[in-house]
Amino acid sequence: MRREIVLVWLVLAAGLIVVGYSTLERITMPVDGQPTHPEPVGQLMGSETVGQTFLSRYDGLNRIDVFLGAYARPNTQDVIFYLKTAPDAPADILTVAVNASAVQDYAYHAFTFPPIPDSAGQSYFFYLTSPSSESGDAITTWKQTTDLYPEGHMVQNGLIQVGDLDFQVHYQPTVLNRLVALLDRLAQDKPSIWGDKRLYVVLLGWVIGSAIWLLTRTAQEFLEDELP
Amino acid sequence: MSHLSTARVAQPVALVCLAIGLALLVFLGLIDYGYDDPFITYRYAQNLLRGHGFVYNVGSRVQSTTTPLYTLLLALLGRLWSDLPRLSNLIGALSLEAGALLLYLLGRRLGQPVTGVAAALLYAISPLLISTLGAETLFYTALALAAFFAYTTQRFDLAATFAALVALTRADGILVAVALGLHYLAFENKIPWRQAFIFVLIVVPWYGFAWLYFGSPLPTTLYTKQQQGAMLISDSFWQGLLQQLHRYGQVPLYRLHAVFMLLGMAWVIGARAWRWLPLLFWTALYVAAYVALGVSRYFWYYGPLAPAAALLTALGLTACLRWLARRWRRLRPCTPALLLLGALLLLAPEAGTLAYRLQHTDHRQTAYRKTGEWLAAHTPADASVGLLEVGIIGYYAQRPVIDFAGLIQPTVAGQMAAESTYEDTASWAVQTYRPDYVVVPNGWLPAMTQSDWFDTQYMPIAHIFAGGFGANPVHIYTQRK
Repeated sequence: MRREIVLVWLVLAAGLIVVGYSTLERITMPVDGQPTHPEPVGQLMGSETVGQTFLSRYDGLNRIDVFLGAYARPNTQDVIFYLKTAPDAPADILTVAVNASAVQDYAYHAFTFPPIPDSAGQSYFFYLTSPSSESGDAITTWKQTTDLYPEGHMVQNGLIQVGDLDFQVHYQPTVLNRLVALLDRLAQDKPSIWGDKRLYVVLLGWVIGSAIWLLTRTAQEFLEDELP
Repeated sequence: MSHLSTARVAQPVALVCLAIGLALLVFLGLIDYGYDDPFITYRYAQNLLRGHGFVYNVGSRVQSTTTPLYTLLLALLGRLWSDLPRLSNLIGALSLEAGALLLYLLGRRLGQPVTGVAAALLYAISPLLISTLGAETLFYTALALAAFFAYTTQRFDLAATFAALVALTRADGILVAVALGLHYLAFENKIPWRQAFIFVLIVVPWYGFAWLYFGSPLPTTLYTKQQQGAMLISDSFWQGLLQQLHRYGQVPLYRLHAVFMLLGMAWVIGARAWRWLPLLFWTALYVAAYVALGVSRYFWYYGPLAPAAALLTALGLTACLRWLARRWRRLRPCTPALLLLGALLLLAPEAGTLAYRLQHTDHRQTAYRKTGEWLAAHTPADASVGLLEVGIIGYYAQRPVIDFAGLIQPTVAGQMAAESTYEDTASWAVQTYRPDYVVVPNGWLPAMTQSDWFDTQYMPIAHIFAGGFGANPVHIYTQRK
């Protein structure tokens, strides 16, 4: 009997891993940012810089998409993406270079980089330059002229602007990140205790605990009562 | 108390604990979940609460909700909690888990508690059902299960009462009574006159009232959805069912559901387990009726198929394990583990879909609500509004509505023909009724909004943005003076 009980618990553990995996797999990481862009910023060339400050909600910040325009023409010069902690921070965290010929007109361009492990709750600043571009051979970013993104603002040539770039912030979809994202979603826009993530941790624990209890009892009953 | 009897007590207690936890999780997690159609019912309930009568547009007696009992329930409970969308989600979450418990009790009553547990678990997080949260479907299905459970316990009067309540919740609920009546006739060999009388006594007052009040006992939605179904651009109920099966079939673990469902069906026939038949027969009748009625496909029509699907899957799983234990006796000690493995593999895709549902809501819902609120704040109380989806916007706007899909004005539905589209009905409705405002989500009805006649009569007045990526604005037009 002892062997059967061990087997039941082993299968239960394996099964719960399958259920957990298939559940977490369906949870997508939210995309932060500002999705509107009524007008272009203007050609990015020479000493021009254009960027955006933003808040990273999760760990594993690994991609920023910026809405770019190519003026419906082939552009040839390199565009460089920089990430740092603030506009006045002395050092860049990383840089990503892309040739403007790879930039699609009027679409998001993804700047990907290795995940930043402790990015949750941190403010960052990204900006773009293209020193070798000239008028007629340059791309543009697109912007919203009103402040729709309260966690940051657009910065052009070192000066804070009213409004925001059109951009998206992406995170690495780790197990922990997905769980936190689910809890965030459950607690989102709810008042008092209903907006407390701990309530949902307890609730999920309650559901999983009762399910385990029910399944082990049922397995026992099946063996003792229903089998010939 | 023996070891076995402890398990017997622990099992229902654990199930009740799980059901409470799931009801809370589904309700709190999906408190603001919704889709357009149920808001038509909420508007009826709201008008009842405000003393305007059983109407959508004040003063216009048209029965455009399919669910009189649920409307009355919302209006009644709305006195305690006036947030009808959330109230409806609470009723739905409780009904869902009550249905799961009834399915368990049904299994236990029929001598297969383990099958009951498996079916209850599959039902409790069924995506087919959860996707209908907010509508009457979960309440309707729970009442149907209550009728089947009462019938198996031989409390036939109670079964007739529940069957009548199902028929009041939605007219097609009459099929529960048909399934039970035919089963009774076949296996008891007599006509259940007393129960038929109870059924008629409960059902007839409403249908009599509807006939007098609306001019017809049946909702206009039946005619409208048949008209919609006749349009070539619409998929029929049957086509929609095949699409659902195809969609589920693309998830590998759902194919396991299909295998066990077929095994369950084979077991019912092979073992001549006719006591399971009423629920399965009702499901077959339900599909046949919807196919025969020729209505268009809407995802919430498929929710009531979930109890039979869960039951057959559970029957297939347990029958398969019993067969294995008989065939290879050495496997017998492993069967509890195999049962758990099977159950968890079956639950895995459902849990995944629930998690997805908890995280994602329809972008349209926010945009529609904002649009309705904008109309309520910026237009005269008697201004009429033309819409293609009249639920959410209509509920929050509280303005007289001209419905391009014909649910509120059956004359619009009368314009639908095989070759016509919603562009045609919208154009006809706008030109015929001349609503003061026309609401069109971005990219919808381009032929109408870009036509010369529309441009000379209407001009854009507001664009409502829901925010978020992938959300499209809703455009509001007003008549040019």
